Amino acid sequence: MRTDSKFQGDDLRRTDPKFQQPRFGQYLAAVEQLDQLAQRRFRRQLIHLAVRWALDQGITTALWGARHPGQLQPVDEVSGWKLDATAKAEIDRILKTTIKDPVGPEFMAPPANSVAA
Amino acid sequence: MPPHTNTTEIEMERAPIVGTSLQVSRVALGTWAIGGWMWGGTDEAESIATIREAVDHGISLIDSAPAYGFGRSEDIVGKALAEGDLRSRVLIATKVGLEWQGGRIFRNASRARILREVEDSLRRLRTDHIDVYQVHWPDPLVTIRGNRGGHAHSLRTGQDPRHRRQQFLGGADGVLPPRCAAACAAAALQFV
Repeated sequence: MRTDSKFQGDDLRRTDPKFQQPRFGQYLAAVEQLDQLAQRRFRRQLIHLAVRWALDQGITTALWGARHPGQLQPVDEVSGWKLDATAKAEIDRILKTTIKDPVGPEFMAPPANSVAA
Repeated sequence: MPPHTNTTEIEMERAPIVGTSLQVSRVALGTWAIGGWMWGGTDEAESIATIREAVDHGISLIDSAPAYGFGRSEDIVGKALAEGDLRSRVLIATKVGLEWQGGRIFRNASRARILREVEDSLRRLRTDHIDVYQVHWPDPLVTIRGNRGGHAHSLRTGQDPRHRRQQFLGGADGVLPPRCAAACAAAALQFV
C-alpha cells in the first residue's frame, strides 16, 4: 500500500480517516518503521508484529480479516513468541512520533434508530 | 483439503473466553470482507476456500455479522461450514442489533429485532446454535441491563440446553459504556 493507492466502489477506505492525507502518510510512515522493527528484532514482518502486539495486550483472540486463502499464509508465524518490554516501548515511541492525530473506530458508528427516537 | 504435513510448524495458541466454558484459537477469522459490503464486493468460491484454509491453520473461531453484506457473510460462512462438514471444528461468533433499510444501517436492539435476527442468523449460518452472540453497536435507546434481563434469557440461540449457558452478549466495534462493561460477561473491543 502506498500514498497514491486508490480504493474502488464502496470500499470503506475511501472515507476511513486513516486513509486520507495527511494522516495516511503518517500511518504509512509508522508501518515502514514498525516493519523494520519486526525484521530487525524478530525476523518477522509487520503483519506478525501487529497481531502479536494486539494479543500481548491481554486480549483473548484477534480477528484476522481475509477473503483469499493466500492471505492466511502468514498466520502460523504469529504463534509461539512474545513481544518483550523493549519492543513494546519502541512500538509506542514509533506510534507517538509518526501519528500526530490518531483516530479510533468512531467514524464507523451507525446512527440510533431515528424513527423510534 | 489434506492436513499440514510440515512437522516444524508451530501450533496455534488457544485461550479461554473468560466467563464462559469456551476455548478459542487466539487468531479468529474475520469475515466482514467476505460479505463484500464496504470492501468492494465478494467472490463466493474464494471466500469458501478462505474459510477452509483458516480451519487448516488451526483457527477455531469465525466472526461474522448480519450487517456484513446484509446476510451475505453469514450465508457464505454457513455454506462453507456445511459443505466442508466443519461446523463441529469451529465456534461461530456473530452479532445482533443493527437494522438496515436501502443500504443504510442503524442501531436497533429492541426485543422484536433481536428475536427476528437470531432466527435469520441460525438459518443463514445453517446451524442450530450460535456460540458467541455480540451486540454489534450498543443501542442507546435500549439499556444493556434490559438486553440481558429482558432479552437474552428468552433467546433460543440453540436447540441444545448446553448452548444456553455458553451464549453471552458482549459489545463489538466500539468502546462500551461503563454500565455495559459491568453488566457483560465478556466484551469484544476493536483495535484499529
